[in-house]
Amino acid sequence: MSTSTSSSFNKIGRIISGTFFALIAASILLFLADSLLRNLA
Amino acid sequence: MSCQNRCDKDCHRQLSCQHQKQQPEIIGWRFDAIKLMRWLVLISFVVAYWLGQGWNQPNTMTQLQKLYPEAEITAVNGKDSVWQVQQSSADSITTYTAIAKTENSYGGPLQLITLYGDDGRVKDVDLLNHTDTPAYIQKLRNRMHFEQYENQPVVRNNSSPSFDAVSGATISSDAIMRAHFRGLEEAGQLSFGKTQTLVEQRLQIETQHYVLLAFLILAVASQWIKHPAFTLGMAVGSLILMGFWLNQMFTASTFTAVSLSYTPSVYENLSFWILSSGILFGILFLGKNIYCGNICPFSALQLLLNKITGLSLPLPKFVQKYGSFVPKIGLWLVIIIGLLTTVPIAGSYEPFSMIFSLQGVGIQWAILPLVVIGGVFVPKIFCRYFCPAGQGLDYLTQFRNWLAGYITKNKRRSS
Repeated sequence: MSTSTSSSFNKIGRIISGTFFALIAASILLFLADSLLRNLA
Repeated sequence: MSCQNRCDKDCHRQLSCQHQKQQPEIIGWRFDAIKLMRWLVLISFVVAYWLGQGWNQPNTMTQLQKLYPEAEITAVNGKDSVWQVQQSSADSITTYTAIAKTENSYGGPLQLITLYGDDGRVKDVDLLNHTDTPAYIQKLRNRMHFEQYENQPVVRNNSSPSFDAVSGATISSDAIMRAHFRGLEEAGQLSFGKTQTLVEQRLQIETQHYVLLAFLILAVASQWIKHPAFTLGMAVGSLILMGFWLNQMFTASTFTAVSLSYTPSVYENLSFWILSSGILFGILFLGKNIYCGNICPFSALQLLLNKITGLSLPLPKFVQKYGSFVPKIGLWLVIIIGLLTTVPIAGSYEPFSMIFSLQGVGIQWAILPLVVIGGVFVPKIFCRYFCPAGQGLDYLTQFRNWLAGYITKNKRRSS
């Protein structure tokens, strides 16, 4: 595999894993905010 | 090179330099951000505890009024547990007695009201407040758990029907049953002059407790047995036994529950005590966190999923650099929200109960698929970057090891 192909794969891999990381973090924050408001109300 | 020159060049390393002694001493203050953060975190816990206790004192009268909005409610003999509930209709006034009892459940205390009439029969049973996962309570309501208590006699005898717990919400239904029985004990004495003992503190050891114990022993053994087949067997066993069968997991809300003194008694939840004791044994005597990677069924699920695909995508540089802070912040948020709301599970975002017992609310259902699919691409993405429970156990292990090192160092110095 050439260096440029490997670099492209790494880039795509980083985008996929980064997207999942961001989505999980965002959904956790949403859950925490919702839970805090619901339980304090 | 003269001593002065050496000092000018590399002063901080020349501690034995004579010139340093002659120079006026500079009284300085070294800023330690980590130490400051630790103190701020501790202070935030104390403030959240204090605010939570002030905000969330349950008011039985207000909650009863919410439950029976049309009724006139008065306290009996100034007690906070016995109430007179007067319901008026167009042609009659009916008076009931309501008894409020509190018992420890899965997420903390729950307060149950038992309403009965002069005819000696239970009219209504309902929750005044609870700290359980809303999905579990909804499951009880869907299964008409509360309705089974209605129209039953207050004074029970051998022929009185027994009550059923709801599978998948056993701890909550058991706590409700105990609170109801405690209410009946007081009602029998108060209104009908009958003393009855309905709640027995008996240690019930069942098959699941032996299995849990055996699994903990295997987890301790896994610290020495590093064979891949053994690790794989532990993962499969953890998924099936701990996850799907026992549904027994350690969550970060346990830290909040302990600080709020919400721990169940050994009679109410023996599994909790066996699991917690096993984890503590690992930390105290082995200096290791034996739960993560050995006992945790969610960790096992991620491991097995990733083994199937064999993928390990690289993470963005930002995540590699700062990702380790996320579980630390997560743990802080779980504890702060738990203390502020006095509901330990309020901040517990781990998707454990969703996958193994299909219980969850709202946005929690989004966390589960994201974590599972994310785990396919990145090995143990949740354990490594999000799990607050694992972070808490790691902190305890680090503290134990630091303490052990400190004691050993002091012993060596003194001898």
